[in-house]
Formats: sequence, structure tokens, C-alpha cells
Amino acid sequence: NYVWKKEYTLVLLLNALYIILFYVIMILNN
Amino acid sequence: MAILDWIVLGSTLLFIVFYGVWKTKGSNSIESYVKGGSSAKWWTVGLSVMATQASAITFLSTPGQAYHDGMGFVQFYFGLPLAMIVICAVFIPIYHKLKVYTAYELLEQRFDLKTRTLTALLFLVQRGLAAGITIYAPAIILSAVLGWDLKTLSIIIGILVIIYTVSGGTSAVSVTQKQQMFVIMVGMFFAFFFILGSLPSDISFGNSLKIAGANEKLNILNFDFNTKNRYTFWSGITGGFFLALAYFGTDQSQVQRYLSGKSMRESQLGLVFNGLLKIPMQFFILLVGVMVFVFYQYNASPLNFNPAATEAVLNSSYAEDYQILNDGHLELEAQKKVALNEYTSALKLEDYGAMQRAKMNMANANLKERSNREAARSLINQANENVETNDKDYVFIHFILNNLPMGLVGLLLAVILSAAMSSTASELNALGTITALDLYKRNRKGDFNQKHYVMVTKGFTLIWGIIAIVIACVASLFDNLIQLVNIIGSIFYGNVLGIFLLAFFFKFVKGNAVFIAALTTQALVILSYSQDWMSYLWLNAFGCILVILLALFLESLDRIMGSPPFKT
Repeated sequence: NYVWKKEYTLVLLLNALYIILFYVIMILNN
Repeated sequence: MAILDWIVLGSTLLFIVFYGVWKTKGSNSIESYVKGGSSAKWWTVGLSVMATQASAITFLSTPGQAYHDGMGFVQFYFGLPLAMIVICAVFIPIYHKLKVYTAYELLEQRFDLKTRTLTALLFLVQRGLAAGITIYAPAIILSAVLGWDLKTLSIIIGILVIIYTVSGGTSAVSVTQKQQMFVIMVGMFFAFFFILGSLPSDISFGNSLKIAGANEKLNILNFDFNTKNRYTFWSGITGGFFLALAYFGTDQSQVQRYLSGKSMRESQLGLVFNGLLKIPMQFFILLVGVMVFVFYQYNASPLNFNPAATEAVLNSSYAEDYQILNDGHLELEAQKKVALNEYTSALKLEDYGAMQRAKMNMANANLKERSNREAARSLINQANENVETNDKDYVFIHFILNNLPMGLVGLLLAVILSAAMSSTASELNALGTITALDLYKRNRKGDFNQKHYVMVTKGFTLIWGIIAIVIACVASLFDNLIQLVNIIGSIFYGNVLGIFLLAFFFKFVKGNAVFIAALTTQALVILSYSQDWMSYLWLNAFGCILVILLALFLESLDRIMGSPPFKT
């Protein structure tokens, strides 16, 4: 049980990227 | 609705229903009926999980939310990917290892039968009501804007879902959900590109984002610690995390989707797929709403998007007052258009001073428009207090019916009804399974063959389908039933999640301590709601933490005292 897999790192990284992208969209259009 | 729209709508929905029946006939074992033969690949699991969560309200309400309040709602989903990781790493390995058919079966193996029965009953009450609302919510909106009969529409949606869900079980649900997700995405992309094409020729996608930003619709992230703001980054990764963990980890309508995976890895990858795509999907649906907002900066919009509300006030003694507000609305729209043209001209010339001035003018006009709409809402409420004045659920459907070309209207209605059906199917499938396996089969004396239990599960699925239709038909008799379902969810969810976390992480806690803690917590959560100690949004976290602390306390006490108090 409870094994960390590389896919979970991918989930964290991509979602962090989405949030950074949202921040950029917000800054560029305000 | 043109004839072409009826053809697109009818053929799409009927094809999905009958393909689902034809493709999955002949389930003769519980394994194949409840777990779909444990043969689903990761993309089937992922699409199925997403289709279950996305109901008609997702597509009706979310664009309207963006239209009025901007894109901040996307933050509500920030906790979801984290919850997916916890479920993949902790929940799924245990579900697979114990080879359970239902989530609550695990609780009997870990605690005892009474804990399993309690959580199964809590699920049936909450999800049974929610299944009725999943049908009712789009039915009431579509009946208001299209003039269709509310009860007839509820019965049609219910029967279409019952046909394939009863016949093919979990396989039929996942086969149809793949097609429903395809229809949903194609429909939403068409709508998005149609809006872009309908804007003035000199307004590009980049410009429309600038216009949305200038009107404060692109405030996507909010890092305030103020708990009064409902959607912030922090509330998303805490409250949103708890809610997603409870919903995806312990609600059978979701658990049954990923238990159908071919292996543990396929189930995990299915949820990883959901964790990767959920936020972009919600962002896109909100972006469609923002584009509808930009569209209405160049085209006339109604003072209130709910036609039933407008009709109610115009047929009352307040009609004259409403007309005055409507004249004000037209004047404000003209003012906004002037400011908008100033802004887009300044944008082209890159004249930042003029852009700031135009932005100020737009902000002032928006402020006036907001209070004008608020005044209209309170006038409607005075005219008829039973009519829905919050029109966010009606913005997108108003846009669809009044602006999309023939054929595309039918496709977008198919999107909304497909979303309603995909969620309802998972709910009925889970309700039938829990009743048949956790209650009937578990407590039934005697030995019956697989065929008997498949027939029983089909029978219970049909009964829950009929109950859902009845709830949808009588829902309009109750005030704000939709909010009631959310409240009931909050009352039970935290407690059930806490029980599962005890099962996974606190191996020394035994069944009696958990059962007493769960009953006590449930009573305290209901009491705190009825006494208004906290907003219902916090009941989830409260119930979850309370049941864990209570069970730990009781188990420790039990061991210190040498056991007598809690032996049953």
C-alpha cells in the first residue's frame, strides 16, 4: 500500500502549471 | 426549436440509449453487472468518472456563474487533483486488495456489519434524493425556457436512463458515458467557436480576453485569507480537497466507476486522468461563460435571463416600475458600448492612458448595471416570491436558444440532457448495487445463484429510477430543494469520510468505538446545522474531524478501562 508513483508527481506539476498559467492570463488581461 | 434541432436532439439521445442496451446485453453474473466484468481501461474509467460528476447543472449554471462573477469559481476545483492522489495511493490499493464490490463492504471487513449498514443507509438517503434532483434541476430550467411540461420532461429523462442502466448495469453506464462525454465536448467547442465568430470582425480572441479582463471577469485567482469570500485559492485546496476526497473516495456512484477498472493500475490511471483534465475542463466551461459575457457587450441582453421571472413581474402591479428599470438597463448598455469602443480603440493605438479612462467608465457602468439588476431581482421577488430571481442558470440557455443557428441548438440541448443522463445513470447504478449487495444479499439467508442476484440488482435499480422520477416530479412543491440536497450532502459526507479515514489510517480503532462515534457525530452535526452554529459548507470538515477524534477517544478509553463500556 501507499506507494508514490511518478504519475502523481505529473498531476502535481501539471496542475501547478495550470495555476501559473491562470496567473499569467489574469495579469496580462487586467 | 426547428425540426432539424429536434432531429439532432432525438437521434443523439436515442442512439446513445439503444447502443448502450445493444452493446451490453447478457450480464449474467454480479461481477459483470456490478463491476462491468472488471475490464475497463484507464481512459474508460477516467471518462466515466468525469461524466458522473458533470451533470446538467455544470453546463447550465457554470457559464452563467462566469457571466456574472467571473472565473474565480475554478478555484473550487483546486483540491480535486490532491484528492485524486490520496485516493490512488491509499483508497484504491485497499479496495482492490479486499476485492470489494461496494465501498461500504470494506467497512465490514475492517470494522463490523453495523458500520457497513449505517454508511450504506446514509448513502441511500443522500444519493437517492440527489438522483431526483439531478433530473429535476435541468428539467425545471428547460421547461421554463422551452415551455415543455416539467413532469413529462422529468419522466422522459428518467425512463431513457432506466432503459440502459437496468439492462446493462455498470458496462452500459460506462459505454454510454464515453459517447455522452464526446457529445458534450463537441457541443461546447462548437458553442465556443460560434461565439468567437459572432463578435465584431476586429475583435480577436486576445481582444475579447482583454475586454473580459477590463470588466473584471478574469480575476481567476484570489489569495485572500478572508473566509467570507467563498471561492479563494485557500478554500479550494482545503474545502475543495475534503469534498473531493469524500465524493470520489466514499460515494458509491464514483467508487463503482473505478472499481470496474481491469487492474489496480487502470483504476489509478483513470483517476490520474481525472486529476489532469478536470481543472482545464472547468476552466473551459467558465471561459465559454466569459465569452457569452463579451458577446452581450455587443448585443442586447435581457434585464433578467429567467423568462418566468420577467413574465411574473410584467403581469403584476409592479410592471410599470420594472419598465423604468428596463429603460435604465438599455441606457446603461448604450453607455457601456461607448466605453467599450473607447477601450478597444485605445487598445489598438496602445494608448494606455485612454485605456485606463475607458476602463474606469466601464467599471462605473458595470457597478450601476449590477445595482440595476439587483433592483430588478427584488422587484420580481415582490411580484412573486416563488419565482427564481437568481438568473445565472438561465444565461447560457438564453444565449443558446436566441443566438445559435439551427441544428446547433439541438446539439447543445443534447449536451445538457446527456450530462443529466450520465450523472443519473451512475447514481441509479450505485443505488441499485448498494441496496442489492449491502442490504439484501448481506442479510439474506440461503444460497442463491448469480442470476438471482443480477435480477435483484436490476429490480432495485428500476425501483430507484422510479423513486428519482417521483422526486423530480414533486420537487417543485418544496422550497429550494436543490440547496436542501447540498445541505444533506454536507451533513452526511464528513462523517462517512471520517469513518473511511479511520479504517485506513488508525488500525487500532475497532468497530464499536467507530459506530458510537459515528452516531454521536451525526447527531451533533444535525444539531449544529439546526442551531445554525456554522455555515453548512463547513459541516463536512466538522463531521470528518469530530468522528475521528471521538473514535480515537472512545477506543483509548476502552483500552484504558479494560473494555466493558462499549461491548455490545
